[in-house]
Formats: sequence, structure tokens, C-alpha cells
Amino acid sequence: MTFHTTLKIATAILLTTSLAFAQRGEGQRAGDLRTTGKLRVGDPAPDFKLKTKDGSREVQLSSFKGKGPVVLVFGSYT
Amino acid sequence: MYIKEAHPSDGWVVPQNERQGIAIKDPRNYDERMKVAEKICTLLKIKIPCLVDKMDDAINKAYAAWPDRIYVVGTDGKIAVMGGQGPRGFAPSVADTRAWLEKLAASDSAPKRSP
Repeated sequence: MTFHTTLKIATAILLTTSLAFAQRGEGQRAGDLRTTGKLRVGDPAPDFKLKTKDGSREVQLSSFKGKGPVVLVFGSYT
Repeated sequence: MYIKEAHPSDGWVVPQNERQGIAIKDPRNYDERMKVAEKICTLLKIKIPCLVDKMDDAINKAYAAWPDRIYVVGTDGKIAVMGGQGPRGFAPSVADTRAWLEKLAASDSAPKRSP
């Protein structure tokens, strides 16, 4: 294998690896599901209607419009 | 809002959780997700409504919320505070949220409480 062939293969591997990282985000490892998102301050908040943890009722974000601010705290157990 | 697990025992395990004996499998259906949400909201004694994202993670994705994040939606329905993404961005956004709410409370535009 010539030096140039080796260099081409190494470059191809490097580009493929870089592309994989770029798709996940720089420095992200497998399992890291962070995404950049498109929301910005001033954008309309995406509406949702979701059940409470016991399933007893549903809460719709837009039902609070005009009544007061809403703090959304996202998270999980782990 | 309970969203997809960050470090389930059958996924991306982190040493901090292992040290604390935290082992939660990633819920495979909505019933399981509701049960885990119930467990953590009870453990943390959360008083505000504890909502559960659906299995398609639609709201999580819409807000780019994983693994944890804070937003404040203003009375006008628009994003007023957009916290940084967790884990590192979470703590600073708690202070930002508090500051925003205190500023609102001190202003004339604060929503009036019912007597």
C-alpha cells in the first residue's frame, strides 16, 4: 500500500468519524440525546396537553395564556 | 415534566447513580413511564403538577429538553426564559428563572391573585 493510498484511507476514516460526531453534536457520546433545538426566547411556546403522573387529569399549556407565567421543569429520575 | 430517562440502568449508566443505588430501567410503555414519574415526584415531594411526556417524546423534542432543562412561558404564551441544557446548564437557569419571576412580581404587569 502506498503512502498516498494510506493517507486517503486515513482521511476517509477521519471524515466519517467527524461526520458521526457532527450528527450527534460535538463531543457527544452514544446515548447522549441532547439536541440543539430551534426554540428561542420570544418564540411561541409549543403547546401540549399531557396527563398528570397519576393520570387523573390533563393539563394544557395554552390554558394558562393570559392568566400568568408557567415554569416548565423537564427532567427524569436518573 | 417527566421526560425520557437520562441514565437508565439499561442504557447510559453513570457512576454517580451506581454509588447512590439509583437503578431505573428506561420505561418501555406509557404505564411504566407514569409509574416512574409518580415515584420521582413523590420522592422529591413535588407540589406543582407533574406531567408525563408521551412515548414519542414529542414535547421533549419540541423543547430540546433532554436530559433536563427549565423554561418560563410568559403570560403571552411566549418563551420568556430559556434555560441552558442540563446537566451543566440547569443550575444557572434556576437563578435566571427566579430573577425573572421576582422582576415580574415587582412590576405592575404581575398577574393579580384572586382574593
